[in-house]
Amino acid sequence: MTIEIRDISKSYGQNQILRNIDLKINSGELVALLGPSGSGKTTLLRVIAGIEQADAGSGPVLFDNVDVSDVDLGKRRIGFVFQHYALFKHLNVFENVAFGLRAKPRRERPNEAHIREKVQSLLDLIQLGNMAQRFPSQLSGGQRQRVALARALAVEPRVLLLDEPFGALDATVRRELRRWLRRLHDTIHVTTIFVTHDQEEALEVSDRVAVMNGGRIEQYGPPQEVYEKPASAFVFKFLGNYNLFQGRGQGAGGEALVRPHDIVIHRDADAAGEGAQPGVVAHIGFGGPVVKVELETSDKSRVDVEVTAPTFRDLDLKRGERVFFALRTQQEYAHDFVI
Amino acid sequence: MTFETEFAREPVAPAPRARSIFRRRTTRVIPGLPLTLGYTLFYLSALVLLPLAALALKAAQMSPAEFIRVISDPVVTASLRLTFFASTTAALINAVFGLIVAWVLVRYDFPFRRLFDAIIDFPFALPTAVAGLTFASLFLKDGWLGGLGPRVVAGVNALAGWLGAGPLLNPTALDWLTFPYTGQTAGIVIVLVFVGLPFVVRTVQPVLLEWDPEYETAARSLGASPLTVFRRVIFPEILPAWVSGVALSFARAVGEYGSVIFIAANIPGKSQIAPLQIVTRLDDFQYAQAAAIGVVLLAISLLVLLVINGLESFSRRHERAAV
Ligand SMILES: Nc1ncnc2c1ncn2[C@@H]1O[C@H](COP(=O)(O)OP(=O)(O)O)[C@@H](O)[C@H]1O
Ligand SMILES: [Mg+2]
Repeated sequence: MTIEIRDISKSYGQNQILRNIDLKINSGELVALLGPSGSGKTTLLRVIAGIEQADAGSGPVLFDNVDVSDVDLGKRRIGFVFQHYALFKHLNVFENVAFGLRAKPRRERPNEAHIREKVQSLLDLIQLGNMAQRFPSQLSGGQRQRVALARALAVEPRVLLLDEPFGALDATVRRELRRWLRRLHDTIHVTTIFVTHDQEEALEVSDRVAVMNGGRIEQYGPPQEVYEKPASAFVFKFLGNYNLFQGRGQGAGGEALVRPHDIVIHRDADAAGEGAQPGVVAHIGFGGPVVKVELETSDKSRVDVEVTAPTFRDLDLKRGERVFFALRTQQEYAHDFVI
Repeated sequence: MTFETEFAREPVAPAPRARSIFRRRTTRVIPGLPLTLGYTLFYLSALVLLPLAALALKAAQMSPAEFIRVISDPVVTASLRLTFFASTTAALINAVFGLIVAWVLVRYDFPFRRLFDAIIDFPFALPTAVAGLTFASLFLKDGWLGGLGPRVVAGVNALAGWLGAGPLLNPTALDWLTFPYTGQTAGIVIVLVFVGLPFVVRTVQPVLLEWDPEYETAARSLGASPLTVFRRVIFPEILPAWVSGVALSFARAVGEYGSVIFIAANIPGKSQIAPLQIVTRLDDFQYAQAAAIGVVLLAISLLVLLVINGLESFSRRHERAAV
């Protein structure tokens, strides 16, 4: 199932939330919508689902090249997982998952035995086979999340749409569940879009990432491309830590951005090569596999550097020592002018 | 299509424990719980249990045979039957229309919505005798609605006469428009509906207001029709509030006196409600007899309320896909 949207805009009253968005998703792809809070990710997802209508004058939403703009939410055959799961509180896990099957019109409704079999296999898939009789209030956050996913999958959706699926969970569970989601996706191959504001999550899990900012898609590409060749300063900054050097390089008035791990520290100037600058070690932060070193330059500005633990051991840096640093790569962008 | 992942142990809400009487059910919030508990029990006893016990005692002054004789008096049984029939009918009408009113007030925006919302409380505030009088005069044979047919005929004919034509309508042409509901059971039911409506609306309304529309969207995204969404998602959520609203409205109707006596014909054995029977006995200084009728009234009400609550918890426990 491919998804394509063309020139979608959406406003609430005077506020334009989505601005002329185009997006194309291949069949079986897992795409992340990544952006800061308020950038319009949820709104875009809801327009694709049919929960919200795009503004008049917008282009179509196409599923397999068929315009579904006027197809009702219930008929689009999408599976939507809500940020807060929206599990039916008065129904147990089994009945929550069975809901979509039982809600089918009489002609299409599977018989009871079929429903039981199907729900049980979904519960096994989400590894909650033994919790069928529990109520949502008796589940942990991660378990609820998986039930919501199973409930959406029960109706065999053509598209799976997940709004901040791991947003309400704590860090370990998040990491675990997102890998699980990736493997689940590799098993069932349903075209999936998931919304997140966590760049690590988006980069780790998805086939392609669409980075959103202010109701626009700033960049859309595979994680590696987005990370290594950010299309704008916004994308660069949003995807990780950075150092900012003003007015360097060709573009005067522009800015150069460098990731902390793209800076190399040397003990002597010769080894550092041309363009290396002196600095003083101002702070050392140990954090497991990477060590964060803060350098103070001659003009008293600070530069963050990340070195791997073995490299750090070899360098044997101490606070207050004079070193030299060189930039491995850097990205230059013209200043963002806010219109 | 199988793969396995070990999921970390996350905290799970504990399964609800079996309740035992007098166990603290939540963590201690108010200091000195035994004191507050004692106060509550005392308060309830003094205000509710004690008078009830006094009532039962009063009735117990009679011998069992006398008790039976009083309550099996055809006039008394007729009044009890009327009271419970009219109250049940009114409660059922309120169950349906109260739910609709609450729904419309919460879900739709229309001109004067807030005004209508405020008006719902009217029956709470209005002295019920005033309500009874108003209804009675409305539905009297020559009242506004009670005599609607002849009034319309008169109006039309007067207009025709003013325009120079003869009388257009036969005086009895619109008699089918007439609602002479005073003195009839229907009249009693109408007042009881009026008196009980706010109970249903005001119990259901807050639940609907709190309702997160995301649940509805979720159900619709799973392909449920609007009817299914209401039946399987919204209704179970409002059921407890709705049931208690209906029960309250019923209980209020059983005890209602002030408004009913103005609209009912109050003929003993025919159109007298049980509370009026009680008042009649009291007027005759037959306190024990009045208490006996009161006890029966209470017992039946209690039974009905228990059945309603039982049904509600039964349906909750057995909430399943009733296909
Ligand atoms: N129903 C609504 N009415 C008015 N404004 C809304 C509504 N839904 C979202 N918005 C606004 O749209 C903007 C984008 O919201 P959203 O799509 O939820 O962003 P994100 O999911 O990226 O955090 C926010 O500023 C929010 O206030
Ligand atoms: Mg959002």
